[in-house]
Amino acid sequence: MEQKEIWKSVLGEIELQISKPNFLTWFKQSQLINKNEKDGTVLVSLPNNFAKEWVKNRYHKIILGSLRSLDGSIKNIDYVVVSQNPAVIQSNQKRGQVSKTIANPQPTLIELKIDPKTNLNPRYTMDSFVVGSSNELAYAAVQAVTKDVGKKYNPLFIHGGVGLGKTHLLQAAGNEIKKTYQEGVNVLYVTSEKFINDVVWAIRNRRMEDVKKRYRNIDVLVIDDIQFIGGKTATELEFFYTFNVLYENNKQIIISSDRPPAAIPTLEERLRSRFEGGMTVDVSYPDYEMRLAILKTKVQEQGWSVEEKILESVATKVQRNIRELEGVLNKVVFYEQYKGEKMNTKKLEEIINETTQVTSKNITATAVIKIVSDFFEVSPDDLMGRSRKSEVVKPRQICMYLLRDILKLSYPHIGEKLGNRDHTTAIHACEKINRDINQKPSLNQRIMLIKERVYKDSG
Amino acid sequence: MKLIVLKNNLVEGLNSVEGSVGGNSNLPILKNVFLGTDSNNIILTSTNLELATKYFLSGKIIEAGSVTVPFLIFNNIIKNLNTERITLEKKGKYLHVSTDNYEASIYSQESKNFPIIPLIQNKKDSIKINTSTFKNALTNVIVASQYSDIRPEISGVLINFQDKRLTFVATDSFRLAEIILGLDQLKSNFEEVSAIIPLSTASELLRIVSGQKDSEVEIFIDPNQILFKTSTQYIISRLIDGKFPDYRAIIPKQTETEVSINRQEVIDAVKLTKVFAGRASDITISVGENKKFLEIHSADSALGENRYKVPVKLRGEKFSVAFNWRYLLDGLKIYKSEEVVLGVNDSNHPVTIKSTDEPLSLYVVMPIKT
Repeated sequence: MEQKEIWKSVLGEIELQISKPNFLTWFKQSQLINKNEKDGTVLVSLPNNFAKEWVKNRYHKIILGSLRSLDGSIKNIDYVVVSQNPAVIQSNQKRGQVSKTIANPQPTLIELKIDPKTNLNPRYTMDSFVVGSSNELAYAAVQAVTKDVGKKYNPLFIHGGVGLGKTHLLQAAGNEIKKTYQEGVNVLYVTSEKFINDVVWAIRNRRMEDVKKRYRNIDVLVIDDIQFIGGKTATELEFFYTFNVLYENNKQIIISSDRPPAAIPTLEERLRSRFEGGMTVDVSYPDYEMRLAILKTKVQEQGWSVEEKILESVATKVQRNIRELEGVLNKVVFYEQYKGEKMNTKKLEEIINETTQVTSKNITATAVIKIVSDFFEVSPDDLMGRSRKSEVVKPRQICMYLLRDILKLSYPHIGEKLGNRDHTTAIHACEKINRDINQKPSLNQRIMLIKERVYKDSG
Repeated sequence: MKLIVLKNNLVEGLNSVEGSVGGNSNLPILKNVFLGTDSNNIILTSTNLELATKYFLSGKIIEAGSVTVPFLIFNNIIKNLNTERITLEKKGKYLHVSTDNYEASIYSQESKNFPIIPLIQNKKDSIKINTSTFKNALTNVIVASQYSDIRPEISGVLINFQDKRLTFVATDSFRLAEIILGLDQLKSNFEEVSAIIPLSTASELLRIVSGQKDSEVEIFIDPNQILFKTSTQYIISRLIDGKFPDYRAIIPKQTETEVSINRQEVIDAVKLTKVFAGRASDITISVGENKKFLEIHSADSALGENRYKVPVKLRGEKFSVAFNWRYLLDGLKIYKSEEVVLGVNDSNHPVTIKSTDEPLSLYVVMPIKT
């Protein structure tokens, strides 16, 4: 019998022998955590010292008796206190709502975990970054930069899709440099949003000098999500000057974005050319082995026990986003540990759908077709027509892929929507795009953009 | 069981166990107080399973034994008696309380059903502090603490012994108070130890020790519980499980501007000017061009505004920062000296309140954004 099962039946027996208040007070959070096969001692955890004393002194015999009737090899019981803060579990779920309802102008003493000087979160390190074929170039570039700050690849521009580890790499680079050079170098990590806010604040309060001073007195500037800077003229200009000052003084600049410099539409030409002047590396989608490695690292880090099989199926099913991968894993562990539910394929499927699916309620097939045709500047009629020119075929295939991917339409239905085509045509298109998407970043980029528009229009 | 005790002693005992009597829990016996004998001592105990208080009562033991009765009833009777000597005797299922002119019998519960108070495993190492020093340190940091469901690890007071110094720290993430005691104020045979005491325990401790002057409190610490031992009682509490944030990182290493102020005058000024403080309880303190006055100012568009000028000594530049006036007042009140120093960087960074006469106390508060 499983340990959990054994303990359940022991509790069942005890419940009959003592009053309900007593049972609730002393046994509610008890657990059988371990059995030593050698000397037949089992370890029982209790929530506090009071329960430990009480159970040990009053119920020891009853527990031992019923344990032995279930498993004759048990000879003795040890008790330990494992304190649980019930508030923690509850509040983790509540947290999201609470922070929204309280609009407090009183700022806190900065998030205590983040280094206030550098803005770096020590959680991200080079060691905890899982390297695979999709990001080894980026990883190597970062390593080279941390060894030879400001000289080798400057600026270092890392781009890639959402949730693929750009922030991790950036922060890890900052942390690594900080570790190597200690107080000798000033590292500053900012998101481009923070930079924009600082500039806006400075303009409003006529304190531009402060901002200039702050950003130009550092040795390593790490900027996350630079694409948001595009189109904000004053900020772009300020960033351009800052960039030049730092660059001329051989200060290291590390930048991340969700697309390559050339693909940020609103970015000024002079900034673009500067970004491209250094080293541009991309991180792309992790392959299956890497996804599994990431899950395993995470499980090990947190000290969880999750079945190999479950990890494998999570890695198979969640493909596009490491953050989602971790999200699904967190949920799986939550269900298993706190709700005590056993994972099976069906449950797992549910969790994955819950986590990864964007509500596609308001999206219609017509809307998708319209957006794709707008994007490629062809008319919807062309998409549905019979032409087999390559400038129409490609959009048509992408359209089919999206109808399948976003709306989960059946293949015959997709064929029908796009000019009464055969379902095999649709299958071919979806498979082709699915294959190409992993090989051609530019295609992936485009599909991302289209998806963004689709979700934006329907939301 | 039969005992004869003096009323005042018993009242004092009941007062000190009152705080840890259980409230509405599953187990009704937690609302009881345990009364029993242990060799030559009479013991009063109460617990809510987080905190337990054991009080050693002086009195005459005629017959050993133990009993447990509802605290509220027992306390009400004893408090209102007007004779000096009280006889307590267990007869059958009842506890008889009798004086020369009064008699009551309280229905009791079996004392063996009363929770067993856990003992500390590590009896060897302890920290000894004078009660009033301990009380002062605790009072001064506890102002910065606040109960939080979200972050249990800061809903308490951190006591940390390291490098021959005992540090008390509390924070509610808006402000932080720290008091350091050196070896001249305490004895410790711990090398290094650290524990987070729940806020409720800390306030209960304050209540209990505030009556005791010039005695000593001895602290024993286990991985998940703590014992405070004074001459007449034991207070045993669970500890908060968690890691206290690395608070040193947020204390500003240096401050650009430092202002010496007369503490009492600023306290009075804040109390006065806060009348116009808005919903965020914000008041602004600033030093202008001439650098001779600290101006405390609050305004509300619907009510009006006021300003108060206090002469100061300034080192650094002019500044203006806004605070929640309660937080500012709390910080000023932890000091005793006439003069304290405000350390300001700018309105986005924490402000320190220090005193040159009390170098081992520190208060840090985050300004309000305006």
